Amino acid sequence: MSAELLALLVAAITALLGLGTLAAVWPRQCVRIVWGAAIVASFAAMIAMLDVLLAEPRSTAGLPLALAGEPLRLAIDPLAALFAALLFAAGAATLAFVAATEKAPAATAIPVCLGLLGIAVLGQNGFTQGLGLAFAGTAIWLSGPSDRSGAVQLGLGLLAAAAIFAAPGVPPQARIWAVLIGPGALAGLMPLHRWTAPAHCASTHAAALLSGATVPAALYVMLRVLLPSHGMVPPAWWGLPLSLAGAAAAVIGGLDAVWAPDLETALAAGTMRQTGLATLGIGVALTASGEDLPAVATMALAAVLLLAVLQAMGGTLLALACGAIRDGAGSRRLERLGGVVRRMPVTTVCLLAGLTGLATVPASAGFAAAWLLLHAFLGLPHAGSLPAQLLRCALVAGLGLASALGSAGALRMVGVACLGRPRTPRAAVADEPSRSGRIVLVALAFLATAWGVLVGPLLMLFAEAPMRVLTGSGLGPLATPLGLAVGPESPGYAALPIACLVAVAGGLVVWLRRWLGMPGATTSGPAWEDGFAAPPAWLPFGDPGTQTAGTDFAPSAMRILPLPPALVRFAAQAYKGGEKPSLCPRPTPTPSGPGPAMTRRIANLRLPPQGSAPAIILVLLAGLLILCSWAGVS
Amino acid sequence: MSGVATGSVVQGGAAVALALGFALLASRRMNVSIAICTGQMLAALVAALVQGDVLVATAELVQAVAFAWWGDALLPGLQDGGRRRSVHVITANRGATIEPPVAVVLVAGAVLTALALAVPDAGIAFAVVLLGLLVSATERRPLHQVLGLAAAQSGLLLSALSVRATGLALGLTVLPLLPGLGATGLWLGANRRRVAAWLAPHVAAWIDVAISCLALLCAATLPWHLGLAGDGWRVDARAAHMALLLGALAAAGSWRQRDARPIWGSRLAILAGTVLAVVAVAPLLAWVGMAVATCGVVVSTLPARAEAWRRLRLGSTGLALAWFGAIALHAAAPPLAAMAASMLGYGSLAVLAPELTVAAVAVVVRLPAPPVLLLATGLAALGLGAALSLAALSTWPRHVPGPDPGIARASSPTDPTWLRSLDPIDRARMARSGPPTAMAIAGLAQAGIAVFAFGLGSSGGAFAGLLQLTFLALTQCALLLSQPNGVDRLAALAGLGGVPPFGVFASLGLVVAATASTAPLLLIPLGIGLAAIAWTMLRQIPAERRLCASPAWLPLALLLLCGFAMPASWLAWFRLAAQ
Amino acid sequence: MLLGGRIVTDLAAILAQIIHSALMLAAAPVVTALREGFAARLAGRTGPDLRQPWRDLRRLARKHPALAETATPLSRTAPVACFATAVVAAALVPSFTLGMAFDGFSDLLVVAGLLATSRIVVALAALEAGTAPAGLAAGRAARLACLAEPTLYLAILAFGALGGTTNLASLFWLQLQGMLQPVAAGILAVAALALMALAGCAETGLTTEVSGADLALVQLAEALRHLTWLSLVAGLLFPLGMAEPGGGALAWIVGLIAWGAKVLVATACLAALRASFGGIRPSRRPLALGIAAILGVLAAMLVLASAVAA
Repeated sequence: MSAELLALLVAAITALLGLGTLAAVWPRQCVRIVWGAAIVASFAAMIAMLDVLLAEPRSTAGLPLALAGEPLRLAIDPLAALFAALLFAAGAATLAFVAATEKAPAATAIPVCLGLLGIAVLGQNGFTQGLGLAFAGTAIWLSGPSDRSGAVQLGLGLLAAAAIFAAPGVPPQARIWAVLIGPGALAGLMPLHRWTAPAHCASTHAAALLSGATVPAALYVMLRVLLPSHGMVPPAWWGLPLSLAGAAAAVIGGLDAVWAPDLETALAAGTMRQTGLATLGIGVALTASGEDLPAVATMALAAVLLLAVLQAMGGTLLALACGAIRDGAGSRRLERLGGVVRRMPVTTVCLLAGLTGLATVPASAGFAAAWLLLHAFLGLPHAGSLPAQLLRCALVAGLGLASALGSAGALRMVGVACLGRPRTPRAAVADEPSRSGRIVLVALAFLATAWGVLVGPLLMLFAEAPMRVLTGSGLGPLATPLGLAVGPESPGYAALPIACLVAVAGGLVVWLRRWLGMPGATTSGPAWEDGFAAPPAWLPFGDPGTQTAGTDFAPSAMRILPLPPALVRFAAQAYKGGEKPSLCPRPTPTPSGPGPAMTRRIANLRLPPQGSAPAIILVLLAGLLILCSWAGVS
Repeated sequence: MSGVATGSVVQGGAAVALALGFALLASRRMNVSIAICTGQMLAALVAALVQGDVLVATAELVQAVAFAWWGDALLPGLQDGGRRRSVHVITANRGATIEPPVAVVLVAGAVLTALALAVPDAGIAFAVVLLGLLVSATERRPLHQVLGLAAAQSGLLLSALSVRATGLALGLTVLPLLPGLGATGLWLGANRRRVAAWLAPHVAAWIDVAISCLALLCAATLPWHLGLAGDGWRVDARAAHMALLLGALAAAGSWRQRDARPIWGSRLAILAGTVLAVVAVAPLLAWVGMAVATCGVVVSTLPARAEAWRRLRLGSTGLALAWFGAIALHAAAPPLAAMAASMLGYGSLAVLAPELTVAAVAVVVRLPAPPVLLLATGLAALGLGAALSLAALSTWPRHVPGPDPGIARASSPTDPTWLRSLDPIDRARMARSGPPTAMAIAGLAQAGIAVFAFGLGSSGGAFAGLLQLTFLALTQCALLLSQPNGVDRLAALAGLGGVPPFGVFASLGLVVAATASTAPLLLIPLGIGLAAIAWTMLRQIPAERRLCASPAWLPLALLLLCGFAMPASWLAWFRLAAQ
Repeated sequence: MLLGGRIVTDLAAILAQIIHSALMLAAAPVVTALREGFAARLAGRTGPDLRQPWRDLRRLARKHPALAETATPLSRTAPVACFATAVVAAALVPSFTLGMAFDGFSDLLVVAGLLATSRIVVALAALEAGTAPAGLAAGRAARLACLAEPTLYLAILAFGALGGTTNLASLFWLQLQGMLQPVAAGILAVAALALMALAGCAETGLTTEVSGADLALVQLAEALRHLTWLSLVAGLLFPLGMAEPGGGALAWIVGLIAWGAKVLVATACLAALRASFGGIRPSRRPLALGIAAILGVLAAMLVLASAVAA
C-alpha cells in the first residue's frame, strides 16, 4: 500500500513541477494554473496524511536520475509522510491564497519550490535530500527580486545541501556541526533575518513558503541526520551543542521579534524562535537517549513534532495574514499601521488565533510544546556535576524567557498593528483580501487552534507512527484523549477540559450579564486618556505620536541583573536595546498625622536608594549557599 | 677539468650572476641595466664553456654580443618614432602599478634569494631566475621588463648547467624564447601599421571554426584509439577525455569569434599546444605544448595590446617557473621545490584562457607530486580566486550589459575607441572588463577545486575531480556561446559559481562528499572558498533575462544530462578516465 | 498517591469544587478590603468596611460601560475573557481541601499560564483604546511578564524535582506529608514565586479605558488573581489544616478555618512589608524579578544537589 502511496506522491510532485514551469512560460493563464497547483498540493497532503494514519512500513522507490553517478532514491515512512503532509498543506494554503488574491503572476515558483522540497523530504539518501534543498533555494532565488536577500536564501540552501552531502562521510564528532551549520542555518538557527527579511518582504508567498514550508523540511532533515532509525545510537554529548544553540536562537529570535520595526522582520525572528525551541527539544531528546531514558526522549520529540506542525500551520497563517495587512494597509512598518481591525476583522482574528497558537497561552499548541519540554527537562537525571545542573537551570530559564517573548511579541504585533487608532490615513482604508483568501486564513486559524485544544487526540492520531520511526516505541501514555500526561495514571496537562472550562465560564458570565439585565455599552466617545484634549482638525485620527509604537515591549538588555550601570549601558547600546525612559516614580506616601510610634519607626526603614549593593550581596550569599550545599551533601 | 672543479666554477658563475641580479634590481637606467644583463649572459657563457658544451657556449656568445649591440643600437628604434619619451605604445603598466622604492625591492629580492638557496644544486641559479622575474614584475617600463626576462633566461641556463642537463633540455634553455617574445611584442607595438596589415580577414575566423570542429570530431574518435603511444606521449583514457574537452572549448571559442579578425594560426597553435600538453608524459614535452599554447593565446589577443602585453607577462612568468620545474624534474632534483615551481607556473598559465585551464590541470595532475602538494595547490588556487574576485567586486558594476565573455576584444585599429582602450587609467574600461576577468578568476577557482579533488587520493576523489573539470569546461563553453542578457548566460554564470541546476553543482557535491570521507577538516576552507565564489558570481548576474535560442543550450543540456542522468556507458568512461 | 487525570466523579469531590469556587469568588473582594484595611491601620487610619468592595462592584455593575470611539467588540469580550481565565485558575488551586473534582487539571504551569493570560487580555484591551498611557502600560506589562517567566519555570523545575510532579493537588498533599525534601528548597522556591507575583502586579494604567460593568469584571478578576496567588503560596508553603481527600465535613470546616487564617496572616504580612518598605517601585521591578530568578536558581540547585547525595 505504501508503495502505491509513494507513487502517487511522486506523480503529484511531478505535476507540481510541471505546473510551475507551465505557469512561468504561459503567464496569461497563471491564476488557473496556480489554482490547479493548489488542488494538486492539497491532494498530495491528503495522501501523505493517509500514509501517516495507516502507519505503513517503509517503502522505497528509485528515481531515473542520479547525481553524477550517485543514484537518487525516494523513500516513505510515517515520519517522512508527516512532514510531507505539513509541507504540502502549507504550500496548498499559500497557493490558494495567492491565487485568490490575484497575485498569481509573481508566484510561479511556488509549485516548483514545493515539489523540490517534497523531493528533499522524501529523499532516502543524503544526495537526494541535498539536491532537493539546493534546487528549492535556487527556485526561491530565481523567483524573488534579484538582490542580496534572495542570494542569501540561495546560499543557505546550498550550504544545507553541502552539509547533507558531507554528513554521511564525516566522522560522528563532526556530524553535529554539519547539521547545525547546514540545515540548522536554513531552518533559521542563525540570526540572519536582517538579511533575509527583504526576501520575506518582497512577496507574501515567499514569506509563507520560507516560514511554513522550508523550516519543517529543514527540521526533518536535521531529525533524519541526527536520529538515524537503523540501529545506530547517537553519542550522548550531541545534545549539548544542540540545546545551547537552540536556547540561544530561541531567546535571540524572541528578542528580535519584539524589537523589530516591521512585520516581516518580526515574522522571520519569530521563525527563528520556533526553530530554536525545536532544536532545544532535539538536544534534550539526544541527551535523554544517551542516558537511556526513552520516556523523556519521547516527550522531547513529541514537542519537536508539535512545534513543526505549529510552524507549518501557524507560520504560514502569520505570513499570509501579515502579507494581507501589508497589502491592505500599504505599509509593513508597525509605526504606520494601526486600527486595521475595523476594516479587516477576519484577518485580525486569524492573526490573533495564529499568534495565540504560537504564544504560550494555555490550551494552545505552543503551550503544549513548552509543557512537554519543561517536563522533559524534569525527567532528565538529577545527578550530575555542578556545571551540568547550572546549565540545565540556564536552559530552563531560557525556555521560559523564549515563551514569554513569544507572548510579548504576539501582544505587540496584534496590539500595535491591528488595534488602536490608525496611524496613517492609508491604514484607515485597509481592505480585506477576497473571500477565498479569507476562507484560507480562517481554515488555517481553525487548524492552529484545533491543534492546541485537541492536542491529545491529534497527537495520538498523527504522531504515533512517526514516533515509532524515531524512537522505536510509540507515544506510550503521553497522549490521552483529554490532553497530555507524563505517566499512565498521573495527571498532566488537560488541554480540552481547560479550554472547555474557560469557555463555560465565559459563557456563564455573558448569560449572567444578560439574565441580570446588566446594561450594555451605549455610550461611545473619545478616549479619556486621563483628560487628554480632543485631536486637532488636521489629525482626524488623533495624533499618531500619542500611540505606542511598539518599541518597548521587551526588557532592555540586562536591567535585571545586578550589574554596574556602565556595563548595563554598554550592553544596551551593543544590542540596541537602549535605556527606556521610565515614568516619574510616584512618591511613596509618608504617614501623615499622628500614628503609632512603632509603625512610624518601621515606616522610616528604607532600602538604600541607589546602587545594586544589596543585590550583589544577595548574589554572593547565594553563591556561598550553593557551594556549601554542594560541599555538604557530596 | 674535474667534475668538482667544474661544478664549483658553475656555482661561481651563478653567484656572479646573482650579484649582478641584485645590481639589476637597484639600477634604474637603461644603459646600466643592459650592461648588467650582458654580464649575466657572459657568466652563463663561461659556465657553459667550463662544462664543455661548446655549442651552447657559442650560442650564448652570439646572444651576448647581439644583446649588447641591440641595447645600444636598436633601442631607440623600439620606441615610438625614435623619440626618447615614456613609452606610450605598450602602456599596460602606466598608472596601473606603483613602482616600489628600491629598498623594498632589494629586501624582497633578498628574501626570495634566501628562499631559493634552500634548493640544493640549483639554488643560486633559481635565485637568479626569481630575481629576474622580480624585476619584470616591479618595473614600470616595458623595456626593463624585457630585461628582467632576459636575466631570468640566463638564470634558467645556469640552472640547467648546475643540474648537468644535456641534449634537448640544454638546447631549449639557451634559446632566448621569453625575452625574444617580449622584444617581439615591443616591436609589434611600435609598428602598428605593419601589425594592422597582418590582421586576417573574416575568412580566417571561419577557417578557425572549421579547424576546431574538425578537431572536436577527431577527439571524439579518440576513445576508440586508446593506447597510441610514442616517445614521451601516450593517449590514455584521461588524455582522450581532455582532448575532447579542449576540442569543445576551441569550437566554442572560435564560434564566438566568428565575426572577428583573428590572427592566422593562433587558434591552431592553442589547440595543438594544449593537446600536446595533455597527451605528453614527459614533463619537457608538456612544457613545450603549454608554451606553444601560451604563444597562441598571446597572439590571438594581439589587437588589444594592453591585454596582450599583460598576458605575455603573466605567461612568461608562468612558463619560466614551469620550465625550472621541468628541468629540475628531468635532472632528478629534490621533488618538492620542482613540483612547487611547476605548479605555480602552470597555475599562472591557467588564468589566461579556458583551454589553458584544462591543459594546466591535466599537466599538474600528471606530475608525480605528493597528494598533500596537490591539495595545497588546489586550496591555494581556490583561495586566490576567491580573494581576487572579492577584491575586484567593488570595481565591477552589477548588471552591466558588458562585453561578451571571451578572450579578446578584437576591434579595428582604425577604430577611434581602440586608442582609448589602451589607456589603463580609463576606469570605465576596466569596469567593462569585469565579466571576462570574472570568468577567468572563477575558472581558476573551480580548476583549483578539481586539483584539490585529485589530491584527495581516493578513487572517488579522482572521479570527482575529473567530473569537476569536465563540467567546468562545459560551463565555459556555454558562457562563450551564450547570448548577452539571455537566460543561457544567466544559467552559465550562475553555474560557474556552483548554483544548480546547470554548471558545476553536481561535481561540487561529489567533491564535498569525497572530502568528507577522506579529510573532513578541509571542508571548512573549501566551503569558505565556494561561498565566496558563489557570492561574486551571483553579483555578476544580469538583470534582464530573455529566453532565446542559442548554441549555448547544447552544453547546458549536456551538463544537465551528465549531472543528473548520466548513462551507464558514460559513467564507465568517466571512471576509466579517472584512474 | 497521585490522582488520575480524569474528572473525579465522586459526589463529594464535585461538592467540594463548587464550594471552593464560590468561596474564592466571594472571598476575593473581601481579601482586597482586608489588604486595604491592614494598610490603613498601619498608617493610622481606619480601613474600609469588609463588604465595601462588593458594594463597589454592585454599583459598577449597574453602570453603562463607556467605550472609546475606536473600540471594537474586543473591548466587550476582553473583560469576560479576563474574568473567565482568572476564575478557572482560582477554581484549580485547592484552598481548604484536596480531592476536588478538577484536581487532575490543576497543573502549576497551567495555573500560572491562565493568570498570565488574564493579564495579557487586559493589556490587549488597553492597546485597543489607542491612548498613550494605556499603550505604555501594556508595554510595561509585557516587559515584566518576560522577566517573570524564567522565574516561574525555574520554580516549577524546583517543585517538579522535589515532588516528581507538577500537579498542584499532588504537591500540596506531598507537602502535607512532609515529603518535599529538602525543605529549604521548597521555601526558596515559594519565596521566588511570591516575589515574582508581587513584582509582576497588574499595572493600574491598563484599566483607564474600562468602565461600568466591564470594570467590575476586571476588578473582580484582579482580586481573584491576588487571592489565587495567596492560596498557592500558602498551600505550597504551609498546607497544614487542609482536608485530605475523602475527609468528612469536619475536616472541611477545619480546612476552611485554616485557610482563612492563612489568608489573613499572609495579607497582614504583605501589608506590613508594604508599609515598611514602601512597595516595589516601578523602576525597581526588573531588579526584583531578577532577584526572584536568582532565588529560583538557588532553589533548583538545592534540590538537584540533594539528589546527588540521595
